[in-house]
Amino acid sequence: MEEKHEDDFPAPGTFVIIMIFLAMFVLFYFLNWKWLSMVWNIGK
Amino acid sequence: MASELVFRTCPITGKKVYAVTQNLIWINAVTAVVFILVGGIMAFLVGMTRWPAVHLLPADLFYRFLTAHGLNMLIFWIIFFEIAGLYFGSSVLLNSRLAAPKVAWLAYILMLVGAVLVDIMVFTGKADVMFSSYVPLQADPKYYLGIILFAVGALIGCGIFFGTLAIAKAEKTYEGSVPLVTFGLAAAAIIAVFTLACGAIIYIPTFLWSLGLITNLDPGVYRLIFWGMGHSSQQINVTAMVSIWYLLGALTVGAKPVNEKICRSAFFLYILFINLASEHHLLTDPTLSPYHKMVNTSYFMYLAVLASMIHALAIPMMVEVAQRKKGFTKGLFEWLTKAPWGEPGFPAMIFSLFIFGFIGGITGVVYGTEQLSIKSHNTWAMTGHFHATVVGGTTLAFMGLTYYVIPLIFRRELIGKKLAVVQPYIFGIGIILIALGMGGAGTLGSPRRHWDITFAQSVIPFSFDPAVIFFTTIAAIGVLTAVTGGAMYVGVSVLSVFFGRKMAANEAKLL
Amino acid sequence: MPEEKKISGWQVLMDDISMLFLLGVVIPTVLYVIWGVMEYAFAPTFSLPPGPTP
Repeated sequence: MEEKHEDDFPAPGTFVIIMIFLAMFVLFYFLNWKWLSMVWNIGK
Repeated sequence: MASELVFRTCPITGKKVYAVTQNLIWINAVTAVVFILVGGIMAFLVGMTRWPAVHLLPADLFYRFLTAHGLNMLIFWIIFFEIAGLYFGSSVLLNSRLAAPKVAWLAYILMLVGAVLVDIMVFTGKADVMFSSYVPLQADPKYYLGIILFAVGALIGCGIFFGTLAIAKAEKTYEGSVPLVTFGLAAAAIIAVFTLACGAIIYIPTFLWSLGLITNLDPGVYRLIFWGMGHSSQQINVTAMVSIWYLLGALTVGAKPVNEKICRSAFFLYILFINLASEHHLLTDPTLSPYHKMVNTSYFMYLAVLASMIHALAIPMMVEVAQRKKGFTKGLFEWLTKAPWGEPGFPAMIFSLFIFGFIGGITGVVYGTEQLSIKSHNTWAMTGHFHATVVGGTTLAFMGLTYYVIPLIFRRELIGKKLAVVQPYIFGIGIILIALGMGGAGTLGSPRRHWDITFAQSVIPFSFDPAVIFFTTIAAIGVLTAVTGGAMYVGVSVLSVFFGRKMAANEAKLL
Repeated sequence: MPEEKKISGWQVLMDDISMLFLLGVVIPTVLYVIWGVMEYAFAPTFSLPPGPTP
């Protein structure tokens, strides 16, 4: 019989969606900083 | 007067719908749809000009219709709809009579006269100044007068909303705190007051300058205060849109926020800090110090971003919790796959949420970073960002809500229900293609507000990376798709409002 | 006698629309508008060096 865990996060699907969202945020930030560094050389 | 107290009781929600409120919601919402039609035709023409394969319009008409597109969509369609929303969120949701209905009609007339005056000036070629109308570009004085009249009308509408809240509280038409949706709309109205005050501060001197009564307007100060109005007006849209998401969640799946205190606190953060995001338009302006830029965008604006993150978690969470309570507990996503995708409100809400969040929100926060702004400013990537937020986010949410307003408030059965169901998908897919196409082309340097990106008539030849043309084509296909979705929305709404079967007083049917 | 539900200070603030209105207008007016206008007003002006203009 499956135990009901009262402490379980009530929206695990939403949690996964939010994690994907945050990962996309990180990726887009990284890409934009990378592209900026390619068009604006600083230093040598 | 006794006519102001005539009401009916909604057979579905039990709310009192006063006749004067119903009429004002009707006229503001219908007028909004007229303006989205005008803006949508302009979208088609401008989109087909940016697509080099078609290049439809000559240069002067391109800039003229782009000005018209911006004004009719960003200002007229959205604000008329929001005023209707404010009357709904106050009078209907709080079971209260509307404050000063005659003044509310005056507000509507001012907004209509202002909008029509602006459109006449734009279409007759007397205001080829873009939505931002940066000085020293100068339009006919009647253009600025039209915007001032519209803004005054909208401000009065906000005043009616606050007045209704006061009446509801005094007459004890509700218990406890106002509902979350009303609270969110109150946040939108507060942001609107700051917005319109900035509008008055900048448009009145600009109007006087256009008449020759003021000789000089500093372009930097103009930009500062213009965007205090210009971007804050978009934050009204964000706040109203989030409120509508909560409403649609309740209407479609019976969802309630898991922790309403946190949601209200998030709206509180919007009230305090979201207007500071206007600074990101000024990141490449020379005179303003890095301190002004960083304090506004790098520090305080992120408190508003935090608020958006809260709503981004709270809304899908409340939908999931509601769906899981109904028994959709298999795996991670049965709550989503078995959701009412066949009702127009649900896909509209979900598409709106995902497009706004994943595309609009991420691009907005990233491009709003001071250094990254340098690369993306004035490129088509900016246009991609705000089409994702305002069109994919706010407009799509409003479209979804319309399909409930028609039976609930206007008491008409929807004509073309199958079209209504399909419409959010078509519009949503179109906007995704537009946003990704514009973003891709803009990242490669394609400029915004530019008639010909092939520079065919340029003295010094230049050509972009061929990938720019590829992404521009994606955006153009998106334009065709979104315009189709928009036309479906206008068609279903107008036909239903005027020719839909009138529902009986006790008919408890939504869709 | 029914127990009176204690309302938290935070809820009192959230329910006070006039306070929210005040904060929502004053904060951006000071941090964005007034500060920005002051920066423009006190921005140093550039003077051309003496002599004929090239």
